[in-house]
This record gives sequence, C-alpha cells and structure tokens, in this order.
Amino acid sequence: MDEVYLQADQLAGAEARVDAMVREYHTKLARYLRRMVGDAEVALDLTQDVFLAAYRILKDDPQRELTAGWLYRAATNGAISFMRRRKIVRMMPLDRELEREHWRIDERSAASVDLQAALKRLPAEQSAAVLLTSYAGYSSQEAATILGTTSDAIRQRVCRAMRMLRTVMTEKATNS
Amino acid sequence: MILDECARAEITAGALAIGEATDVQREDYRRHLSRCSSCLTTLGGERDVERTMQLVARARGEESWTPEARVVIVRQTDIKRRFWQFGLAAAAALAILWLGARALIPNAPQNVAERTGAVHQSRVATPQVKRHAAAGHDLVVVHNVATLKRPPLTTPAHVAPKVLARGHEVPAAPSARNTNTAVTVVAAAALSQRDERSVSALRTVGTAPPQPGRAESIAVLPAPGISRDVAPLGGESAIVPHPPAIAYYENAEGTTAFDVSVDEHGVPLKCTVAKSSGFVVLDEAVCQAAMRARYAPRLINGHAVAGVYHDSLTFQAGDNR
Repeated sequence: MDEVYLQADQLAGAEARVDAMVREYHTKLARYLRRMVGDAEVALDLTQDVFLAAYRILKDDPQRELTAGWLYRAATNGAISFMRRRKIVRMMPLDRELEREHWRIDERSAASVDLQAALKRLPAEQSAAVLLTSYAGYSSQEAATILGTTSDAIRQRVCRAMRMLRTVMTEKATNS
Repeated sequence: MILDECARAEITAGALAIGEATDVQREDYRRHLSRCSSCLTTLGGERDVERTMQLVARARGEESWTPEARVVIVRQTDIKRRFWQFGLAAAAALAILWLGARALIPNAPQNVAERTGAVHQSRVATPQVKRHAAAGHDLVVVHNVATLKRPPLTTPAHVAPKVLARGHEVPAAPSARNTNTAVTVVAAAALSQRDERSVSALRTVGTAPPQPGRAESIAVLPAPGISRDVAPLGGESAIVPHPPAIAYYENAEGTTAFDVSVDEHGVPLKCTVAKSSGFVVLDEAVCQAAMRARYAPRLINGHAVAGVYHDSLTFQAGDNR
C-alpha cells in the first residue's frame, strides 16, 4: 500500500499542468521510449516515471517551466539507465523470432519493424540522436541541448547511426 | 589534412540526414567524396543518405502503436515515510546490537562465600553461569561442584550437617561460629546407612539459598593428608564448553558429570563422562573443554602426583531471543 493516487484537491496546479503534458506528450514520449528500449511495457513505465518526475518538480516549484525538451531529456536518461541495468540482467527470449513477431503485431509496417531491428544494434547515444532528430523532429541544436552536447556531435552520431540503418534497412528493403 | 576533411564530411553527412545541410555544405561533401573513396564507401552519397532517411520517415509515418494514457501514480516516498522506515531500521539495529552484547558478555558470577560468610572461601562452590549464544538462542551453563566421590572426611565440630529426606526439612542446629550456615542435601530416595555416613562426613561449609534456575552447590574440602587436590588452573571457570549450534536450537539441557585424569605435571590425559546429560553434543563439548584446560596436579605432602578431577556442568536452555 505504498502507492496512492493523486488527490485532486491537493494538487490543483501541478496536476493540471501534468495533465496537459500527459495529453500532449504521452504518446510521443511512449513511442520514443519504445524505440529506445525496444519494449512497450518498459516504455510505458519509463513514460510514467517521466511524468511523475515532472509532477514532483512542479509540486515543489509551481513557477518552474518544464519544456518538451526537458521531458525528452528525462526520458532519454531513464532509457539509458534502464539499458545499462539491462546489460547486467538481461532476460533472453526463448524464441528470438517471438520478439520480432511482437513488433509485427503492433506494427503493420515492415519499415517500422526493420527500423527497430536496426536501432537495437546502435549505442544508446546514437539511437537518441536519430530518434530526436528524424523521429521527434528536433533540430540538431535542440537535440544537442536535450542531450547536453554540441550540434556537431549530434550530426556525427546521426551519421554513424546512418551506416547501421542503411545496412539493415536498405538490405531488408532490397530483399523484400 | 585529409583526416580533418573526413571528420568534417561525417558531420556534413549527419546534417544531410537531418535535412540541415546548406548548399555550400552539399557542394563540399560532393567534392570530398570525389577524392575520398573510403568516405564514399562508409558514408555514402547524398542519394544513399536521403534514401535511408526516407525509410526512417516512412517507419515513423506508419507507426500505429498508440498507447493508452495512464494515470500518474505517486509513490508515497515523502519525508514522513522515509522517517518511519529509517526509524524502524535504526530501532531494529539497536535491538540486535543490544541482544548481541547481552549474549556475548557472561553474567558476573555470584560469590556465595561472600554472601554466606563462609570460612573456606577458596573452595566454596560458586554456581558459575555462562551464557552462550548462537543465532539468537541462549544456553546457560551452570558450574556444579557437587561431588560425592571424595574420600570420607571428619566432620568439623563447628558445623552440624543436616540431611533432608524427601523434602522434609530439618531445622538447622545453631552453630557456634556461624549461625547463618545452612546445608541442604536433597536425597533422591531414602538414605541408606552408607549414604548417611557419606553425607555426614562432608565438611560442608555453606551454600547460597536455592535460586530458581540455578543449580545448588555443595562445597567439599580436601581429605586430610592431601595438601592440594587436582584443580584447573584459572579456577573452575577455566573449563568453558562450546556446544555446537544444534544444542542451542534443540534447547539441549542436562548435567554432564565428568572425570579428568591429570598426570603429575598437570596435563590432562583422559576425560570420562561419569554421568551423561542425555545429549552427546553436550558431553563431548564438556570433555573437549576439560581437555583444553590445564590443571594444578594433586599434591600429597608437597609431592605432585597424578590425580583425577571430578566436576559437572549443567546446561539450561535460556530464553529464545
């Protein structure tokens, strides 16, 4: 019983702002995180953690301005932390095809499935750079601000990620 | 300088992929690829980059997964909850430390001779209680010195022994030197004539009043002609048995009477269990402790001779904590 739902009368300001954020960014963040970690349930949990962190900040400091970039930064950090933990304890599926089947059920697009297969092989920093720029629509300067680096570094990461994407996705497209 | 140009081309390829490359950058990129075959292979031409990004854009456009928004859940990890968690953990740690300290420090032996004012303080038996602990269990060891195996001695004039048969108390006769002296021997059965002789031959000097949970003690003085009997160096407390943990878990109780053969140099030669406690582990622990100890040999007219040390230890299960 260590979890309680938000009480509306206690959380008027913070709750309203978090509600607005959830309506606007929940799906975008969940998709971004799902691409990062490769698991829908984990992505939803991490998304929940991002909004929870936002709520706590707003509860302590109602004047704080939380941008979408802050949400993506928190999501990226959460995903990288999760992937580091997963390196230590990794649940290997009995059937590797099962994992791909799971994506095929959610995604009707072969390109979407192939993109995930390519992203799985990339380091987290490169995945984040590609997803923030080409998927979430941020410029290299904005992505650099989110990830705490320079725009040239973001472009370099995107370029290196491109090699893997081209190898996997172009080959798949050619084969199909 | 070609390395710098390759690094620059890598960044430009990234800008092309994002769609941020200017016309000048595109022209530089083309010029570099025309001269650098490795970059052409690894980075690909403009068309390759655009084709790859089109696949990414298509994957993005065709993504159909739309999760349901969940209610934000707040875990109650506020200061109040953490205070209780920390407080409970600290209280538990203190309780464990306190119990551990109590289990490790043995109880101070009670000096019966001081309380009863006995004359022969060096041989007055003192029930020595030792507490050992294993995994939260206590085992109390009471040191008995009751032994009737000594040769009969003459009864001193100033002490009148009393014999109780089957719980019938006989009032103590007033003693000329010590009116507080009281000797209690509880017979397990009707005393025979030989027993009565043996008991009356004991030069008992006094015992403490019976205490619940403690063994009664009877002091015995050495026989005449023996300057000193066999005794462990360091006193009776030098024999400290360490029963195995199973004895604590099973709450093993009982009295182990044992005899230790000691040579003229005070070295224990053999330990024999005269009366078993009913638990082999306790008997073995007692004998091992007895063989670990060193002894003062028996002295007869100033000459050290071999002798036998008789003693018994009573184990009582303490409170389970």
